[in-house]
Amino acid sequence: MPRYNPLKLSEYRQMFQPLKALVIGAGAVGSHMIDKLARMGMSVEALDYDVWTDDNTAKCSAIVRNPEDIGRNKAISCCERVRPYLEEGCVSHGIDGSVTMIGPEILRNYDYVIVSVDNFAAKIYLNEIWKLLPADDRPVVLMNGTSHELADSIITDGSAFCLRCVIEESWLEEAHVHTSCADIPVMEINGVKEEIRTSHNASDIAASITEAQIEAHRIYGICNRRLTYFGYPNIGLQESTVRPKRNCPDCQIKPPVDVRYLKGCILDKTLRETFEEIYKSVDGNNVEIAVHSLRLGNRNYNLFVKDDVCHCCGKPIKVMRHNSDICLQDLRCDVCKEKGEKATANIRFGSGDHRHIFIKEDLNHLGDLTLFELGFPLGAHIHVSDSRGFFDVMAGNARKRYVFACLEDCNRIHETDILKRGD
Amino acid sequence: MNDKYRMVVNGVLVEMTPEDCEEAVRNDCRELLQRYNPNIVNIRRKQAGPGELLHLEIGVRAPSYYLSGKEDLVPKSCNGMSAEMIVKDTGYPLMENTIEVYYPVNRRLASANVFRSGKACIDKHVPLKSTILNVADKILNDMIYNTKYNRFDSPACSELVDWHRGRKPTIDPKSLYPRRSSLPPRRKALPPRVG
Repeated sequence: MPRYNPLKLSEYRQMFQPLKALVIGAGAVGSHMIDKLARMGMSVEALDYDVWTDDNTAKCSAIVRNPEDIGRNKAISCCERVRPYLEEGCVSHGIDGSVTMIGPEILRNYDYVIVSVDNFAAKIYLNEIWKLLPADDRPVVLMNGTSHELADSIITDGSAFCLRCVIEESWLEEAHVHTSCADIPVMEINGVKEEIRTSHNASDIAASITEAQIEAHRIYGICNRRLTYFGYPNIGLQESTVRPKRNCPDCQIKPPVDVRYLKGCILDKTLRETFEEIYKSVDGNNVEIAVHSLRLGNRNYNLFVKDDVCHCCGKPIKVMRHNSDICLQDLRCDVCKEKGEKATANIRFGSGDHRHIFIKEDLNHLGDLTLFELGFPLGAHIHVSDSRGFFDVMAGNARKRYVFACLEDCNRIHETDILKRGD
Repeated sequence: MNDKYRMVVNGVLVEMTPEDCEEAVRNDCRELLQRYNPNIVNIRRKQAGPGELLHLEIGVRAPSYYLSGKEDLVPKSCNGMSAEMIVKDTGYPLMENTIEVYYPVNRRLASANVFRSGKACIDKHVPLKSTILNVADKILNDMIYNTKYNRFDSPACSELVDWHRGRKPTIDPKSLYPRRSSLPPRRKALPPRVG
């Protein structure tokens, strides 16, 4: 029970109590956001894969304690710190994981999703999975950030523009660059390399104007706009409308027409169980399950790597991971790892057994792996094709295609503390 | 496969449904089957496996060289060479890595551009431009050692670079393509009648 006098707070406080928000990124702006959402009287969940260090606590909220929280996951520590002043019935829950570990079905849970990350690849990814939900099931999304002394907050329900509309396509050439949380961030803008430095004040204000946007949306229904705070010397707040970008790739995304639900959760469901249930659903046993396709920062990851070769000595190695979870140094045999040999991307190594689909013959080796271990994020859409016997493209006979999801994914996110694969 | 494949190409969003990809494969396959000289080039459709849109056997009836295993590095001459070309159902021709070409391991082409596993190294993917037509061109010309198609800067099998560099084409590369009969000589147009 919070220890305060509710009569001293906003008369609208009760409107926020049943609401749930997801904060993607619990760093400089995100930590302030978690603090403010909890004080607004909302339930808040946060997702971040990073930990606090002496370097990155400079701009964060005062809820973060140095040195006690150094080395701890950002999302988990922030959500823990706000628990003492949560409204009755509200919860705060942090998850150690990257945004690519969640799929579209997870976002159904939330009334608001706040994107407080510092790289464009993550923003675009979130935008794409958000657009895969039907408009009625989509949460309102807010994206905030800082640059020098400028703080920005955008709120959208998807009806007028999407997040990609406010991102220049040229910025996506360096989509993976983290502009805040690592070292002194440098970014190339219009051909000129600039150091991006922001103060603690800008991070706090970005969260404050986002909080104000949520209040205005909830109380007055105001949406689809941008608020920008300009710092010294000409301090001011500007409201602007956002126009949809011409030929915005993500505005074209349409949700699947029909999603069929499988029992259970991606974290537990094995490939064998998935095939059995899909056979019953499509009334056939000649199906192919597409390996999860992840597009991140102009690169496409859509392969499950069963075997490969050591990229130091060329010896065959077992990998058993989705290619989005593999970096070059992972492709080493145990002997080369122990010796500290460095893997190289030499073309002579070729490629091993890389799958783009799973078929029933794969059950011998992969049947007991869970869908999560096979590369599907929690809340993923699973694409299935039924070829009804052999497929002849020249005959023009159409393949039946289906989209499945797991029913329990939405609920499991609230019980999951760590959303990571492998080591 | 996906609901739709999307990529920004030269600043323009391109979207293809899986059905569009199938149509692209059909069109390209029809053209491929008529493109080459049937006396020299043999292209045969095979049954597509799971996850495949198209599976072709593609080969030449011309002198070539082969290796008989993963460890073999001594090229042996032969009178013909063939490989299997597979188009996967992953967004052809927009997305990367939709086309793969394999030689049998015990009869792989002796070439610096073929891995020991038998997989052929095909050039870097260019969205919408890398199709089975230009891959087939590369593979067939590789089989007859047409030097224009060789890549030694990043070889798949570096042990064969020196041997491969010394090769001359085993047949005239133009004979891969059907001979076009020449047009009759052009007649000079008569002047217009007046009145």
